[in-house]
Amino acid sequence: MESWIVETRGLKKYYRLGDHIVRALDGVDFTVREQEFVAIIGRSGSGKSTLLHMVGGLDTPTEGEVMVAGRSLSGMTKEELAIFRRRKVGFIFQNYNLVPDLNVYENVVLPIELDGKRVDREFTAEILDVLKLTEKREALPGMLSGGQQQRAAIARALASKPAIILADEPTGNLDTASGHDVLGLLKVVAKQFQQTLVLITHDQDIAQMADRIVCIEDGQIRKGRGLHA
Amino acid sequence: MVFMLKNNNTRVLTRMAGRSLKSGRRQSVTMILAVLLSAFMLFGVFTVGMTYFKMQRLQNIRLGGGEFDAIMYGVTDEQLRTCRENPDILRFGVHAVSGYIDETEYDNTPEVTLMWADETCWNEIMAPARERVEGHYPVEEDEVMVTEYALEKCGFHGLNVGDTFTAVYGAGAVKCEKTFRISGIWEGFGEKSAFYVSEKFYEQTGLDPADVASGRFLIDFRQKLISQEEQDAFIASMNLGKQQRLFFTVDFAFSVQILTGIAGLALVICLCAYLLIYNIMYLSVAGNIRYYGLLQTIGMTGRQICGLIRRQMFLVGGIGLAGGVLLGSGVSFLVVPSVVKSLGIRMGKGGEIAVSFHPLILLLTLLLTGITVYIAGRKPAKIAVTCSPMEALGYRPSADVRRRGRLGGSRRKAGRQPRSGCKDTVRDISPSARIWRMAKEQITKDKRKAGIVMLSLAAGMSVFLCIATLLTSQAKREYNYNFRDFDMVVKNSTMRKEEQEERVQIFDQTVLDRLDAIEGVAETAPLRYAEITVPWEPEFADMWMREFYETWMNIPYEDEVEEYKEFPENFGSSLVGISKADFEALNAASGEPVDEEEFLEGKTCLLYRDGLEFKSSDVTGKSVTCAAYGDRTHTQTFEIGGLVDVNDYTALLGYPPTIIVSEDVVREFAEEPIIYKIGIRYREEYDAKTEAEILSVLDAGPHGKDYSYESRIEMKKEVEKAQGNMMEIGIGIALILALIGMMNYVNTFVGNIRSRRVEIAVLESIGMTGRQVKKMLILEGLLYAGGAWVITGIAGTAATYWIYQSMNYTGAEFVIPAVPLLCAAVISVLICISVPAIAYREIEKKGIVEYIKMPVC
Repeated sequence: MESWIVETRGLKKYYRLGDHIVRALDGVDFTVREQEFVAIIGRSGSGKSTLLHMVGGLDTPTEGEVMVAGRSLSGMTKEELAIFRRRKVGFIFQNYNLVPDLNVYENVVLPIELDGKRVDREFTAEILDVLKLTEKREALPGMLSGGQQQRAAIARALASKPAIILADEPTGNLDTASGHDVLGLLKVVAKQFQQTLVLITHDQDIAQMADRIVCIEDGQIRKGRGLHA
Repeated sequence: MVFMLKNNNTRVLTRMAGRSLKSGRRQSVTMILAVLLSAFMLFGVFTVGMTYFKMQRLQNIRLGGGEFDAIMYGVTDEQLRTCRENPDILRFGVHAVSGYIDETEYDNTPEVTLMWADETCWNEIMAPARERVEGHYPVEEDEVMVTEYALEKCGFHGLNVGDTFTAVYGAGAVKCEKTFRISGIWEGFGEKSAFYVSEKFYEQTGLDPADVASGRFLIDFRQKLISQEEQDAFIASMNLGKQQRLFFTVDFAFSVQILTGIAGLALVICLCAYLLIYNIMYLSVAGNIRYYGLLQTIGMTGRQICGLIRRQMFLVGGIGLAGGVLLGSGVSFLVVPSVVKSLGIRMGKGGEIAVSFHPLILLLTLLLTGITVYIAGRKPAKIAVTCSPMEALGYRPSADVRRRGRLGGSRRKAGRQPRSGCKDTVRDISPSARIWRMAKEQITKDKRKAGIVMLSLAAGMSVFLCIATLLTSQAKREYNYNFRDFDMVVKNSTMRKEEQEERVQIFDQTVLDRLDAIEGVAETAPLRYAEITVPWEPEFADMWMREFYETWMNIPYEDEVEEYKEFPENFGSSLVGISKADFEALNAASGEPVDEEEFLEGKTCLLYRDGLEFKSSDVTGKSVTCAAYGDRTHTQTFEIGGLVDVNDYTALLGYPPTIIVSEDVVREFAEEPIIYKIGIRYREEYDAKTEAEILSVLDAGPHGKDYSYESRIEMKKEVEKAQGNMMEIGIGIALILALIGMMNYVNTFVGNIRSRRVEIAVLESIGMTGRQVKKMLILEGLLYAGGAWVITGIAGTAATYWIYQSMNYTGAEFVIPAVPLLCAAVISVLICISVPAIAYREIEKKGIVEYIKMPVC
């Protein structure tokens, strides 16, 4: 039997919008293997971000189950979900979402510090070095370029050695060159640090860099388009 | 040629303003509430504050017995003319001592004076202090206006208007029996132990208002605000004679200081209101910047956006102002009078303080609130207009990239060690330390905003501190005029008798023993005196008498010096004996202490200055000789140790000095010195039972009617009656202001948390638990509270001290009230803890997903 780092079964997420019910996810069965790089593509409003949020424990499903690293997220309290996120998930957002008052280093080690764990300085230094941020570690996010901020966000996602990295359109706010640069680095570090990576993108070129592409349409995974070597 | 036609967009802007207020109902309600509360605060505080100060004035009117600003002893025709010509004087009246009731068939020592008040004095100046008048002011020579209190002192009971009574009265050199007819009875405050006589009666006594012993001239000024220089100029214009004295009432003398204090308070209140409205408006408009950006993208000009915001402000301000004024009116005119009524304060003539509408207060409220709303809305409007559509779409009020950038730069430039991240300085920190640091960063990252929040909280707390301090000092003012702060002082009323043989020992050893035997009595301190003469001698007695005549007499010393030399018995005085404790109290009050040992041994004595213009150095070291009254051969000489102004130790005031010596000296000098007053201290303050026992002991003796007394219990009752509900209203103002200050903080903090929900969502997304977020927010709240308390502790205390001292005409000690302050501190801490927790719970409900897609910076 294959071991999945992520597995969703019959995942549904419905919203009420006025008199209408919006089916953001409508029975999604989705799996990711360990150290796999999966790209999720789909049109705006197709449900790809919702799927990512469910997997990351940011949102709770209307129905169905999410298993990450062998643990079911259903039934977890908010506190447990927060702890789960900081230990098992590394997020990379389109808007970087760095804490503006903390410098790069502080941002990177924040989830570890919040967990009360000892910061692995050598590992952190290595990540910063690989992501070419050593010189910028004391800079506040406001002093960095978009590409640098996103690299800092990648460093933060890696620092706690999570089970999975979830990236929601990480290049959406970057120009093409910076976008490719950041994505290249992301792929390299994911391989280097043996990380599982799930990435959402609009960009077919970027999706081509993944081990596998999953296409979502109207809250469901489209069959037959999800394979790529 | 191109003509620019005015675009008639008023209707659409007004409609949009109304719609946006409706759609953002919650935010609109908060803003309206802010304006409403501010208008209410200003209106309520001004109305109730004015009532409070009116009440304080009423208290002074009651304590002084009339509405006047200055009192002058003795008034000449020339001075009357000067006053008539002075346009600053609203009115003046003569209130003259016309004699005294010497005895009645029921009481030998009634201690009731005869007074005459002229028409202005009785009908205008004294009227506000009266509560009830029956009958009319005396016109005929035998008519008197009485109080039940004075009648009782004379031993008369149940007399009414039209009844007559017979009494022996003294006036000047005259002493005769007369039948008086009661023309009227009054009740209220003022000279209650007096019978008011007619002008005809006063004229036949031969007394003259120009005589300082008789005439008291009461002046009521038109203007209630008068500086020290103007007071001095008025005194100079009156050209006072050597015997004359002019005093301003305390609230008039300190009118400028009091007004400055009130202005200071009003300023802080306005600051509170401004900060409250500004914060809410700023947060509200800043939160809507995206909306304004959207309007710009569809072609709305900056001017139109300005107009839109102005209309929103107008709507918010209008609704809030109307509500605030209505609420203020309700509280001022309905709640306050009902509280006054429930406290038993009569709302009638003579004591009425009805909360009255004053258009100026309404105008001031409208103006101040309007200006505050306008100023508070200007900056946010400017932000909305100057922000480009693209910037507006990414605008976030809590993030200021440039400022943070500069901060980071400056830190490096200053050469300070980085907080972390450097290989050499990297330290692991605990989650608590990290949260603490983040809370601290939140305060320091936008110092201006944090400053405003702290300042607004501090302003509310400072006003609370100030009013609490003023009220506590007011409550603690005990009005104890008894010497050495005794709980009760009983006086021998036979001391007022003209003839020496009528002045008798009513407090003999038996009475003293009975008083000492009362369980609640801790100490009795009898003061004894012996009647003496001070024989003429050139060195001291002559000098003293010359100065005395110059100061107090209308006839020259030369006319009587021969009589004094030959018959010193015609110029009697007293030798007063005081205890060691009395001496210590006198020495402590005196600026020039005297050697205790020499005084107690009887080598030195003290002299009562009696208003003469002597300095201690003029008499110290000289000798004074006294002789027993009626026995010129029995003399004793003392070295003069100094002069005292405290008149607690005077018995019979004569022309020669009152000589104060040790009590043993008096006992040795006279066979049985008369006890003229006894100070009594209770084991427990304000012990009514002990006081009743003392009175029953005194009443039981043969001289049961020949004593009078003053007690702290009686003084307290009188002051409480005079104060009315001043205290309750003051507490009300303090509580309203404290509430406003706290609401300001609550509003600001809730707004602050709401505006940071994206940032909080980001922290949650990377694994910060709800508990950790709450902890961080509570720490921030506590830091705000701490900062506010530091500001209150420094600036608030300094302002309070300044306001307090400017209004402290009683000279009461500045003491910060610990209990109210502690309560305020506890409440503020509780609020600072609970508000962040509640505000977080509210945003927590909405989840994280909605916000993490928004930009943080």
